[in-house]
Amino acid sequence: MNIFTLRRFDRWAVNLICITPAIVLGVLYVIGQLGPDPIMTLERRTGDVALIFLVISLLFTPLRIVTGFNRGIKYRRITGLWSFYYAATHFLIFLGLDYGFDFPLAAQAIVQSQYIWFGLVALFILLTMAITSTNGWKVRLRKNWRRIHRFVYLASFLAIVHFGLTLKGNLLPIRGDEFWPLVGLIVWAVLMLIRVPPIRKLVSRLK
Amino acid sequence: MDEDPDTLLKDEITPRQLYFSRRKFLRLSAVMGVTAALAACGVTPSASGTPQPDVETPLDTIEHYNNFYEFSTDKGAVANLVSDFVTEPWTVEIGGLVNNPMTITADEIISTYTATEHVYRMRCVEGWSIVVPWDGFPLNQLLAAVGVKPEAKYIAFTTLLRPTQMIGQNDPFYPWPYTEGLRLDEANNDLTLLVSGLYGDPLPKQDGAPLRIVVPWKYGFKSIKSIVKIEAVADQPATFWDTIAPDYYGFYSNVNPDVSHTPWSQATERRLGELGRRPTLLFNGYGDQVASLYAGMDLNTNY
Repeated sequence: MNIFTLRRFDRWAVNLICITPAIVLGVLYVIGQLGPDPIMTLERRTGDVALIFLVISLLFTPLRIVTGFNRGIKYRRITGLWSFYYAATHFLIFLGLDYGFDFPLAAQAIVQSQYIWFGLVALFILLTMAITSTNGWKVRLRKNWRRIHRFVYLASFLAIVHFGLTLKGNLLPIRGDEFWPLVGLIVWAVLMLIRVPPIRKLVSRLK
Repeated sequence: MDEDPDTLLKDEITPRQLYFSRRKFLRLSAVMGVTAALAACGVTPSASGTPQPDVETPLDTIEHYNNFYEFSTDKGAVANLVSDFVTEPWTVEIGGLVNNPMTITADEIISTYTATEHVYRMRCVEGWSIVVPWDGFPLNQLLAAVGVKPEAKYIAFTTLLRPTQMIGQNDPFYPWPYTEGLRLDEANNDLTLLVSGLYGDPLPKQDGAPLRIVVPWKYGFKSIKSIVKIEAVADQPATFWDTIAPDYYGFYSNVNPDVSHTPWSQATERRLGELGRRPTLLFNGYGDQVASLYAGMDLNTNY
């Protein structure tokens, strides 16, 4: 197998892994195996997957800083795009399945639900990044491309807060059902800290 | 079936057989409906319009969708985690500002008071609802028996604390044991039940065996499960959720579509087994029996 087919093969493998949760959820929904509230289950699980892929997409840069492993960088875009697909599906399920495209009703829910505000801003950032993710846009936007794509740090933070607010508890101080959002915030903080230039240099020197 | 006007009437309730065939139909139409709705961007089931009928929620759903954080925060996991939970023998301590404090077994309570069927809607603060045929009796009968003193203004309830069996109680992020409270007049309202069964059988463990409170016009978390203590007190007692997040879960927590005191809207709900959303009703539709309790109170501040 030459380098070219090997590279294509691992792209396919990553895409296959990333689409698996969607297939599993879709099949479970159709055969009625998502529990007594299947729509809420779909909403929650697609949100989980979107957030997990978003965090994974943030792992490759720190991985390079800490281990010098360079070849992971090419997976940033694929995993980030999959995060967007799941986030968009998550929102469409809310709008279509949950609220039956009843726009006034959905609008009322959005206005009255703080947690949705955080999710919508995150989704807007991911949408902008997805549109400008191609090489063409990268060239066209030059320096601004980096500026735009750095908003992923904000989007991931907002997504974790969005998740935390959907659970019964209190984010500040952490009380109630906020264990996983807390884990998310700690992982997020570590991934951000490694990127801070002085720390980045220190970590690179240590290896 | 008792004669209470507060419970749903049997003939208003769809037979199980018809209900299940409708459920199957709904699921099928969901699959097709999504495609159609996407194409037309049209309007599907709306939460407005005429009130939809109430249908008893199947036992299987009631037994496998439980908010019982003493075992797990995963509603689907609770049913499997209660197998080692021992509910016999069980004693309940009734005390505080009462004339005849007593420690009484659950069996004694169940044999002393006549339980009748009360079909109530239950609305969870998470935005879903069910209809449950509870077997119980008005709590005010028990309160009358112990004689609540005039200086008592509230009734406080406590759930069993037994982390060896209730493994969720090992989670340090919660103020165990679970506590709840009602104003005395709320506790004395005929709708407020001490429940020992549902669908004609003893309470499943995951639904709060052997004894629980059911307060149908408040969000589900007010209906405390597996009670070991009932106290009459002078001051408003601390409650589990109010301790965790006072901005979100007030002491009253009456079902109210206009007050989104949680970070999410309470305007609509999904009845488990249905596809669309229903409008949420003020006091969960029990306003005729309970609205007078809150006359002159601002429900926005007393949420």
